Amino acid sequence: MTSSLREKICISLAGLLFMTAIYMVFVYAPTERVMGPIQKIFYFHLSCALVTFLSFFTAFVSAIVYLIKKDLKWDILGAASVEIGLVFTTLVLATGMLWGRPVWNAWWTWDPRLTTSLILWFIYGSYFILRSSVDRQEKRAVFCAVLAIVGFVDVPIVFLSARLWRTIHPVVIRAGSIDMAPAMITTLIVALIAFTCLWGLLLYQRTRTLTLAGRVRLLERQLDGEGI
Amino acid sequence: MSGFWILVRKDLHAEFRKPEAVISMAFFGFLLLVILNLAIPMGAEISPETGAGILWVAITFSSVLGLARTMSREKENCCMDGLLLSPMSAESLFGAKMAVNFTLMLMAELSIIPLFFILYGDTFFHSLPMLVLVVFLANIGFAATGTLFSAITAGTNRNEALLPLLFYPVVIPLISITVKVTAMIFQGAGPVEYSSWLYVMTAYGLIFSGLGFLLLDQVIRE
Amino acid sequence: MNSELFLIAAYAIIWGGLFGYVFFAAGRRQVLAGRVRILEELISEQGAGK
Repeated sequence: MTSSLREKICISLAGLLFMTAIYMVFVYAPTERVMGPIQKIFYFHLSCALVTFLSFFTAFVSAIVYLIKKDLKWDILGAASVEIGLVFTTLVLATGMLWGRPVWNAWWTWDPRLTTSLILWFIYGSYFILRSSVDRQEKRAVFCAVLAIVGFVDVPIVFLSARLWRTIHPVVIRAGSIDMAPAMITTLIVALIAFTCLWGLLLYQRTRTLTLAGRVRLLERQLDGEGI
Repeated sequence: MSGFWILVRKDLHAEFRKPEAVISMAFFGFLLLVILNLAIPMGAEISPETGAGILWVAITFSSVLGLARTMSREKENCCMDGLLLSPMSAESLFGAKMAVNFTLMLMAELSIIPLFFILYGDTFFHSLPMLVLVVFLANIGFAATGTLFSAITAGTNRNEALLPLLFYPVVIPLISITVKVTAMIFQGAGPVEYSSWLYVMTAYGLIFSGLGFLLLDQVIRE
Repeated sequence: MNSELFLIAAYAIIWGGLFGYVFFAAGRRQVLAGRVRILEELISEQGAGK
């Protein structure tokens, strides 16, 4: 069960990309004039956010495919991507807070994007609570698929409503207003690619792990059945 | 379509015979109104935002008690199997359960909202006509989401304890919009100012009813 | 100087989180792979014994 050559190549490629990304973030990209070095959080913060979106979108699509095809491998793909999405949402929130503290002078503001990420975190967190409280595989798969679809459909409404959350929300950096130097944009793109590669690898690995977990359960049952 | 009415009548009939859901919803709502009073400084006039927040926290928290009951009641005596065997479609089952939940919430609100006005001052009383509309729209959203999720939680081994954990994260946007619109109404704002948010509430209700109609079939067959 | 501290903290969290997660995933897979192997051996032994 050792990883194959192709896997090793993929892993080293992702590692290399990450090294390049780190080098570019800290050395190649210029330091931002107003915010100073703290702005360097931005590259990985945004990359994590991209991965979050990719994960939840994958979960949404695989949930729909599962409900149509009823093949458990789609359920496993969905579970793996929600899990990865949850990890990266946590990272987005944590880095966002650490960025916000020195720049906005507050750990947390009820900005639409922050609120949306937090509620996303809650929705997909409940996905795992639901997952752990259903035993039969097919039933669990359907329930989780429904939750993944409902959660994804909810996201735009959450974003819309978060704009209303606090009437006076603090001045927030708008995407359009950050004038980025070309070197910054290149760095950002490299970071985004590196994270997407990492995401692909993680998704592949987690899917395989969950498939294996299913296989273990099957074998254990088989063994129990024969042992009696 | 006749199955829809039969089921609605059956559930409401059972509720009138033994009003366990409505009583517990209204009672818990009263309790919340009293408990949330602790958040207000002694003798201070409450702001419209606080008032709206208190009202809707009381309504949404108490509604979970009733929402969980409508589906788990069917599971208790294997009534769900009977419903599945009947020639009724899953769509009309969802519609019926949603209508029942809507009615239950409305009945609880009929006692919670007057008590709110009594406890927190009748300065907001002028807002009653528009508040009815907001309650109506919010109930549709809550009932749709709650029906779908209570069908899910009824199938899990944690049963009703799971519903709030799944339900609240998804309805947070609806709650926040409802609270804001209610605060605006309490402030005496004209319908022009919040009409766009009423559309969002309507859209939420429509989207989640649609999701329920589409997905309930899958959920109850498991 | 203060802002650099936050930068270091943010990157520490990112790396800590990512490595933690990757190691968790890898470790879990190893454990499961080992278990599958053991179970398969057991099953084949049982099959041979009968």
